[in-house]
Amino acid sequence: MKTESRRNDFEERLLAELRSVVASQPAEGRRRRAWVEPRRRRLVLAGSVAVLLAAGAGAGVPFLSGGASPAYAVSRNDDGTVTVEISSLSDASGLQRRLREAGVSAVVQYLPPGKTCKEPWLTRAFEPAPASSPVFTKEIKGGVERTPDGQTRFTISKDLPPDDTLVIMTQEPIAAGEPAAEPTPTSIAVLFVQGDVGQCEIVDAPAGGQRFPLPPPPGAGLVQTTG
Amino acid sequence: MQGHASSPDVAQIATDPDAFERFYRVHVDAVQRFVARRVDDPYLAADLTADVFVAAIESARSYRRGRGEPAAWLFGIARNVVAGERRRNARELRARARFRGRELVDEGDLVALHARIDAESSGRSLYRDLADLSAGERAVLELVALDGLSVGEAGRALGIGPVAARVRLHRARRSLHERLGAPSLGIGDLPEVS
Repeated sequence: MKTESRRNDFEERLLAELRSVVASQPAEGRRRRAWVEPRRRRLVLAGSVAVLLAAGAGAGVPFLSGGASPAYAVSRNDDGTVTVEISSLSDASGLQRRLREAGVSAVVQYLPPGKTCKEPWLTRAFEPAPASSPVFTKEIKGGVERTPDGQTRFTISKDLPPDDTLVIMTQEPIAAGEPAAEPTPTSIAVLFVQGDVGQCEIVDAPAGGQRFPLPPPPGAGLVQTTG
Repeated sequence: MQGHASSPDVAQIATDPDAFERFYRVHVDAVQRFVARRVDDPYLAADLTADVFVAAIESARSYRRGRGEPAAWLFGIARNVVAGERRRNARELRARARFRGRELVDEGDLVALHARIDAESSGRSLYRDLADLSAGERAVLELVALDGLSVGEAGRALGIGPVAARVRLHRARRSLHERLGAPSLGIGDLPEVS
């Protein structure tokens, strides 16, 4: 009956993913609300820094309706840090310009659903870096937070390495190719890359769904945020 | 499947990664072969294999020993996932898991996946032949003739009693004989169900 006993790489990779699914399961007796909690997972990459902030379910409503309130706010603080607040996914070029005015090398790229940037877009980003170097606490003070009123907020350190570029982009973690049973939540990915960022050539996302645009470097780990 | 080996752990696989790993290593081969008896696309097979285990993680808390050995329980889940009877569930599960099995496949894996699929080609042909049976009859015959479960195990996998499983299996065999001449399909050696 046993025809294939060799453990292949697929099985090991699948095991690693499934272990993280198990680790993200809620404690006994507390049923998780579908869609929400797993999206709070942040992908923290060693060395260079990437923070995936999950914007959460229903984000389509506040993020896509521009409304009367401004889409973003960039403010320079007394201590030299820069605080960014994003309330809707519109006017990417305006946000990018404001960040640069504030002295932050930045690229802001919002993509419509089902689209992605043609790879390689950021592949030059991750040069080998010491695996033990501190993660995003260096570049972003206190991490990326999502405020109760649905804004994404983070504060950029004043001591950025000169060749770091801040990238703010939309992230669609849901598998494409099947009709979504519920509105597809959109997440914001906030990451720092080393060196320049190329021009985004917008293409259709692969059928398997848009993945995180960068292959995590060796040693990258998933960090689970609470609640 | 050596189901008894992991039975004490089933309820824990939802929350304990190590317990899950033990469970996975016992059953992953059987699940992949189960899937390969039903689909011939290696990427789809990878997706379904992943979905089966995600569904098992989600369902583990409701596992009760009386519903059968873990192997039979897992086959019941696998059957639902593959048959698309829980397609919406599977989609939600996949969205929560944030990955699809096919994303984990590289070129080296394709050889093994194709080999497994090739090895199960006769199973897939039988699977197709079962398409016209009623859903209930088909389910029992699949698990018994295709996956090697005992009639009792098949019943537990499907949540029905052993008598009902025997009745369905008997009917399934009879209708296959009438329509197709079952021995030529390789199911002449099905367990007797008198």
